[in-house]
Amino acid sequence: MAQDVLVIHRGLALMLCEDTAILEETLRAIEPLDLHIRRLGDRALLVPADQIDGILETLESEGTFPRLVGSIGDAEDVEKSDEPVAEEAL
Amino acid sequence: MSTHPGKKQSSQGPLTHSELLALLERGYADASLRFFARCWDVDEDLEEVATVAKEGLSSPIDLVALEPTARAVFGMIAERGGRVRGENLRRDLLLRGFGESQSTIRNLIVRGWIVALPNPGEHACNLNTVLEKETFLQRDLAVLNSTFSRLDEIVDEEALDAPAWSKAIPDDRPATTDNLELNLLHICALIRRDPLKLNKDGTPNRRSLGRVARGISMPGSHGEVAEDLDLHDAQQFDYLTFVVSLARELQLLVNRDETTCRTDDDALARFFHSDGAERDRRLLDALQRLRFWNEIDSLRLSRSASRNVDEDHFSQSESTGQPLIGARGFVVSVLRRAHFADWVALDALAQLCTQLDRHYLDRTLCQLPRKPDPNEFIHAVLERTLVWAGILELGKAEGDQRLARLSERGARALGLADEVTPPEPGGCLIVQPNFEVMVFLDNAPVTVLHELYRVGERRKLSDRVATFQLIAESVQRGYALGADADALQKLLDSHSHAPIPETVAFQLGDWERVHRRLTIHLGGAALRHPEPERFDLVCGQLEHDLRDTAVELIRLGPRDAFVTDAAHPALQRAADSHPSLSLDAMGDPPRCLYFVDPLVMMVDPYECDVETRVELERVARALPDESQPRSLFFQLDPELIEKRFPEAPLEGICQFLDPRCEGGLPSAQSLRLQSELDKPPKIHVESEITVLTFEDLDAAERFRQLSEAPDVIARRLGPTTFAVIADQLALLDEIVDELQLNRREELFEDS
Repeated sequence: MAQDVLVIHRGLALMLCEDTAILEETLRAIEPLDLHIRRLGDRALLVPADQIDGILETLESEGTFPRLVGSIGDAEDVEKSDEPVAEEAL
Repeated sequence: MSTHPGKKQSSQGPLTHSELLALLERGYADASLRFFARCWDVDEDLEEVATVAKEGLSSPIDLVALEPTARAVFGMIAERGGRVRGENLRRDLLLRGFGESQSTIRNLIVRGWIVALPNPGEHACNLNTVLEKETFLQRDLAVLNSTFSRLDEIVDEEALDAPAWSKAIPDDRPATTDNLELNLLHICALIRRDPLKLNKDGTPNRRSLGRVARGISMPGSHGEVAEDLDLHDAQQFDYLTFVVSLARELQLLVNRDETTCRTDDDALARFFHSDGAERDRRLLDALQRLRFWNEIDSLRLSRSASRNVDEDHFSQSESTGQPLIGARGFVVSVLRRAHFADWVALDALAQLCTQLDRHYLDRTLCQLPRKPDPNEFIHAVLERTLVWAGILELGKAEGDQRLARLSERGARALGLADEVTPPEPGGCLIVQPNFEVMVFLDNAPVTVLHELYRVGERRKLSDRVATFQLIAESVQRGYALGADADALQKLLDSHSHAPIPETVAFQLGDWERVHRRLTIHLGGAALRHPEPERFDLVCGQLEHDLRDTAVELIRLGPRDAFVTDAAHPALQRAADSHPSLSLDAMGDPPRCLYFVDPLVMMVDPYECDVETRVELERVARALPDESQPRSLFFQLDPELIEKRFPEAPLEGICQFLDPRCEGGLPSAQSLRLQSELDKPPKIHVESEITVLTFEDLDAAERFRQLSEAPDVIARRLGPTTFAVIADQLALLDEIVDELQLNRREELFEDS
């Protein structure tokens, strides 16, 4: 076991809330998502950066638009194709 | 020599006596001297030939009796001051509707009425060869000074016969580049919120496109399409795929995968904040590079009554426009060279494109699957691509002749004009207390529209006014994209007819406060250290290194911090100067789990990544009594595992543990997990058995095939090994003796 090492976790996003209430509210909003979140104190959450799109989508659907610092990734989603929908055909 | 008011005088003008004399001495070959002497009916003497330039031909040209194209040639040369480049002369005649004039020009040279001049630096120019090889268009053509003085007759009598188009009637509502930009902004702003879905064949999903397309205004129509949107209407769908395809070429929209198209906000902001000339240049460049839309099918579509449309045309994965990129570039280059400032006949413009380099278009287009006719393609580029983009405007002359001219922005895009008419000065918007912003499009800078699309939702578009609504969601979304309340208020104030209402100003600030309650830092790195004092030193050094940069170090506790840029060199320096361990949440998990007992693991929380730590609590129970700060113990719990991996618990937990254990999941642990989560592995223990082993495989095989073998062999244990039925040892002895096998008795332990 390494002793007294500085551990650098890359690929993580930091969600920094104004206060505990906002943090709790945020956690409640994203609870249904099957995420890997580490809570740090009363204001901070660490989450793998590749899970941030799902979080943003959920938060935005609830009317919360967080301030983003850094680059934004993209979420995957699927739209039903035109083909099976009868009224969609030309 | 007479002068023509408004005529552009060439720097060299008509061919004078002295110039011709000099050319005869140095530029022309003797054969050309003979050519002139024969044409002008004079002796083959330099001075006599040159004198014709001053004194005129022995039999003067009857300009009025000339055929129309020949008169036009003289008229054009007169306009240009007596001298003109051959290919420019031909081009201008084409544009004025005279058709191909090459043979006429040739005839005039043969008769000596127009002189093809040697190119600069050329010696021994043989006019016979020039005519034979038809290279006179690549030369300056001049009239003699004596002829030039008579050309007033032609111009004064309108002998040029060029249609003046003074009564051209422009389209009521031409498609404009401003309108196209508004459509691009609108569609990209809405796709930002609701990514555009593509079907498997690459066509935009109509339901998805429909959500963003209602606010589009179709070329040549007033206001937004709104309730008239019908994506089953192939022409509407065609225009929308044109806009989407153009946005992709401009990189405002990007395909993240084969099924989704998204807005690139940075690219959108860069494009709409660049100056007008740069936008025009990029727009024209993108129009030429359109890969996922083509004008030939588009024009055919608009002329076809059939609703059966080849879906390939709309596909954003079928590059039906790519083969046309070079040919479009050719048409644009012809327009650039044509340098026309006013109305020209559309057919003449198309003819110019086909005539200038007929072979290039033929060669390019014949490679296409359906081999379009060059004329059809040129008309498609002119009437569809360039008209929809607002580069060309169409009109009509008396007699329904179709005309075209470059728009102001079109001329700028082609590099033929530097400035466009500036918008009227004054405010372009009104902010109302109900958070509605009315924008007057005629004088609204596109940067203002871009900002309003970023922070607001466009509710309505009439002919000249767009109405945006500022709501909590839209404004906060704008803040998330980089807007801020101060800058937004300043922008609205500076472009508003009246100061923005106080309630609106207050609310913009309040929404920003709400927006800032949660900040997400992407692209950073979390730091942990078990020793707070040492960590203070590390953080102190990092803060010092980052002091003049935009990168922040955020302390999250005595042992935790976050640096907002994981790639900053200061972080690497910190890692190099201290014992350190680097983990990547998006890479392979660290091997941080150590089994200490059956189903009991130990983990150092500082070596553990977030995913492992979270998942551990989902599949195992913490053992706090046995744990220390640097060694946490967990016991795998079959109930929790089954809850976490309901479909295949054993497979799920093994896949989780295997990459996290040094050397992979220990076999003993996997067997135990199998016992707990699946059927326990069955084993058979047998004692006091006799094992018969042959030393070679052939012998073993022959033994197996003995007729008595089934009575003796209980089970074959391996290729050369058999277990013997306990009460058949006597029979085995009998066989051994009978076959004289070399027998050796051994205890199992000794073997």
